[in-house]
Amino acid sequence: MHPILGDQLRLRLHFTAWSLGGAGLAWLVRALFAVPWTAALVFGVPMGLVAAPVSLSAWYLCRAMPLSRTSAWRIGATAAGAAVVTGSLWAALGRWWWQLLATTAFEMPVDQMLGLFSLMLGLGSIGYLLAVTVHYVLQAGEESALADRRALEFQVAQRDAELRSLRAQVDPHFLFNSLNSIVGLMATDQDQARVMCLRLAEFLRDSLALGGESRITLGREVALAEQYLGVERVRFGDRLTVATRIDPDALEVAVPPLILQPLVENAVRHGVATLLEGGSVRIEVSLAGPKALIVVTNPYDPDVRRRGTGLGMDIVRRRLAATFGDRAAMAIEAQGAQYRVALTVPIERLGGQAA
Amino acid sequence: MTEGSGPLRVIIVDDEMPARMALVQALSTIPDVTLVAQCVNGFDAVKAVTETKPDAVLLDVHMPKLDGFDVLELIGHDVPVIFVTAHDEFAIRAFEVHAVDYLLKPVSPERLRTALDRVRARGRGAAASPAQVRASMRRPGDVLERVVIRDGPQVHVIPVDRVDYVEAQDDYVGFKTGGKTLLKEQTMAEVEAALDPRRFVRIHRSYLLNVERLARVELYAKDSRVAILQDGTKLPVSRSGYQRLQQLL
Repeated sequence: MHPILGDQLRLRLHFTAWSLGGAGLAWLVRALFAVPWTAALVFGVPMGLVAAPVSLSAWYLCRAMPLSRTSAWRIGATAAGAAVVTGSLWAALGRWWWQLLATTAFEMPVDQMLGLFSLMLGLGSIGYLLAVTVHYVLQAGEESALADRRALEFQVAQRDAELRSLRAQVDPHFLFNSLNSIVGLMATDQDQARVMCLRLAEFLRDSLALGGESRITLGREVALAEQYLGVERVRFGDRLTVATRIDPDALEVAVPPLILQPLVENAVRHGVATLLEGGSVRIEVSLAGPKALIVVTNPYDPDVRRRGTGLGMDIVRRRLAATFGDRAAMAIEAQGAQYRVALTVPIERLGGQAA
Repeated sequence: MTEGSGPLRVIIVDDEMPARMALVQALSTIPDVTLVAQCVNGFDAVKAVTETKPDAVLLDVHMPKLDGFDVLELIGHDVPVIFVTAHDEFAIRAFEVHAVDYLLKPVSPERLRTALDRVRARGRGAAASPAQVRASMRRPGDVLERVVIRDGPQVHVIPVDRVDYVEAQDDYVGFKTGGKTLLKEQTMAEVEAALDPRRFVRIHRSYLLNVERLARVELYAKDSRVAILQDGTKLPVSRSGYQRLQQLL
């Protein structure tokens, strides 16, 4: 959108400024070429008004060469070139207009046309460069407004992600399947049914508590994932095995809640559960230089084409971005029949200070 | 089949042991029902249906390799199916594919009894025709990604990109894959509608070709062409088939 054309008030100001410029031109030619005021104004003001729309084209130059991404040299050379070309055209028009007025309306000298042309070329070029400057200023203002809006949109997205994660943290199907398992186990294995009830209660209580916090330790996150897997192992029996390799030093690292559990849920639901023989979900947590690394690996059936990476994974990505910006990363790899999700987060303690 | 006499013979299909136990327990409270088999996946289910010819199948939806809908496509012709799942979002689709009933986990014995009564009321053995089932199976815009084919008690799952071409054979279509032919009771029109039209072209009344297998097309008589596949197989190409092929390539 053109910053002046698209705005009524600015457009009016723009034309006013140029007609004042035209009056200035009239004052100059009256002094230099000794013409009466009326003739000078009838010559100057229309010339100013003609320059007004032409100078709006400076916007396209600004847009093609944004200040932040173009060298000063290039901007200077291009603007100067455009100023001279536009200035010459304007001066030529002025010469024609002067001669027309001199032959039809006013007593005006026509022996100093080169002087008039040079004057107008100079003024026109300066005017054009002025217009380029004004457009650059307006462009900068617009960019900062856009940046503000982006920041606001980002905040809204972050809130949205939090809300959705709260809603999504306990998958209702997980709950119904777990209850169904309990019903089944009651007839055959009451001890196991009791274990299942207790694990499910633990998982529900912790996931509800964690959802309300902004940061928790990685240790609590690992514990929650293990509770989840404990419930699922009753459901899937021998088909689901779990392997963990946790560096105890990494357990104090502060992370947004519910970034590991969705990965594990995904590994079960879209991985192990799609295989006839099942398989192993592996959780690895380690420190690697200035970052902590969280990796979940699982086998999956490459023949089952997945539709997207799922809402759960999307929420993890957003939570990481909302908390750490580009200091955290999420990488998904599917190789052979193994699916691997790796999270890299900065090492921070609860309270926000770097460890 | 023991039409209208004797207990109702039922099969349970679920990949989770506790879920099977829950159904076994619920069935045990219902009179006039015999559990004839418990299956841990879709392949087992097709085998058990072939061997024991049950009166009803209690079928889970989420299972590895073959899901409940795949299994229904394979056995729905032979036996009434009752879906049992924790997900309520498949209910409409389940009835579209002529499932007798749709039960939500955990299933109460009363609800299970109603479902089995429904099987009895329908008359044992009455089931949807495979064509009926398949016609409603696909959702608009979906393209088939794999073909499931029943071969007696056995099931073949073929990803469509491994299908070289499809050939009409009387009441069947033959899926050609790596020199093998697998027959399925289906029409060419149904197969053509289900496959991705950007990959499979009806080059002839009796042939649907996977264009990735095409090596070249040769003219062998006036208005008569032959498609030569990468493995040397030659298939006739009709005039309209040639036009469709040109449009795609």
